[in-house]
Amino acid sequence: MQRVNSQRIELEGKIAELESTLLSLRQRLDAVKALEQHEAVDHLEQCLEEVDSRYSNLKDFGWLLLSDIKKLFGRH
Amino acid sequence: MNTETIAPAADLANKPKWINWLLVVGLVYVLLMAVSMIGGGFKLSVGESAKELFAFASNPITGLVIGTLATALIQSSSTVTSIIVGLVAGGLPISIAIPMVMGANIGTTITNTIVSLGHVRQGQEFRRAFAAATVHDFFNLLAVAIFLPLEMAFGLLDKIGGAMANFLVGGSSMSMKDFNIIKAIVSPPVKTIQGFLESLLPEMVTGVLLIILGIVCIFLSITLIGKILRVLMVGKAKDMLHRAIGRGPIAGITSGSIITILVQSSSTTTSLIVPLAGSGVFTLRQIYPFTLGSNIGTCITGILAATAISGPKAVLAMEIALIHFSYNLLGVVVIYTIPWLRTLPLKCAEWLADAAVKNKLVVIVYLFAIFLIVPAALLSISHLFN
Repeated sequence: MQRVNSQRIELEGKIAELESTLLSLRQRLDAVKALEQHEAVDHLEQCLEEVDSRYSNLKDFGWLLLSDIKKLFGRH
Repeated sequence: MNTETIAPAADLANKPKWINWLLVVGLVYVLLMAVSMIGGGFKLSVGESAKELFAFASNPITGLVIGTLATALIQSSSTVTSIIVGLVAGGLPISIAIPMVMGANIGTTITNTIVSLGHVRQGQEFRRAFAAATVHDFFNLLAVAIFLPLEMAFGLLDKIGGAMANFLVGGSSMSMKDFNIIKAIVSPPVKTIQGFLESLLPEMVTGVLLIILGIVCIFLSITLIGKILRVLMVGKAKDMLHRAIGRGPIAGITSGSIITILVQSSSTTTSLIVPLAGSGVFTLRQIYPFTLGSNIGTCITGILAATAISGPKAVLAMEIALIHFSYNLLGVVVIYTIPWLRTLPLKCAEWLADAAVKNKLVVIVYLFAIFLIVPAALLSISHLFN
């Protein structure tokens, strides 16, 4: 009985240790993700430039779509 | 990179800030004059028959489709809502204008969808970017599906907007009516233009010319204000985004609203997050509240436009601007606070993005469906029932 009890305590201790490691890893991951997001926001001007290039996006998409349609109907 | 559009942006950035701010003030003045011109033009050309003139749009679905298509073509909901404010001042019934502003919300979503097409050659990046763009579409469609029937059955938004407008512009002694500075500064040039045209042309033609001039001026002023504010406000927008990171949905909605107010364009706000989501740095769930905030922030232009209207129609002009605001605010509150409603646009956007990655034709089918097939079908069905 005492052996089972000590085994349970040992396992509970290990789980608590792993959970605390997991929590700390999650917090570190969140911090890394937040840092990455802050860095992306620092380059917001590039995102604004993409807003201006929407007509060339449409043209590019049109060409891609046309080639997909040609493939679909077996013309290369 | 589009050098044609970046060159003017660089020009603006090189100018001293005070010149850019002066330009913004001047353009806001032009916007206010333009809204006033539309209202005045309608009064002059159709007088009290405006209601009959817009009778063709008395069906709410027609109004919704007009708002959607007009905004999709112009790619600016602020422009369309400002024009609607001017039209209401000229006699367009509020009941017709409400579905139009709802349609403006749907129409504006085309811009960020087009921006997301820039990632079309990068499979997973495109999936994330397209989902980030279309989540706004699905949210706005859901909002219309909830609030248009409520409006048709109970006049919910009309009542809310009416009460708010009466409080702000109505008969109370504390209202804006008694000290409308904007009316005082906008009226003289509009009257001068009107007088000049009237001296050359018949009343009816003058009215029509004023309406056309007003619409062109609204479009140009809002476009230019957006371009200048983007240069002036990019630093502030960064600050807002930095502050919102890791702070949850309320901070996301708030920063989305404030950035939209700063740049005076919801399509700019919703489009700038498309590349951020596409790169995978921000998840769809993180950018979703930010997108919703843009719906709230965009209402400020309509409210500003409504302050240019004076006389008996001033309350109605403010009413439609406030209806737009309450509709967008209620939409966010209702949809975002009910968990299963909140996740619906996310699920639809993810499903559509997955399908679009597999087959590019899905994108075209989707765009045609939202902006052509569904509006045409709805119109046909509603006319059948009429």
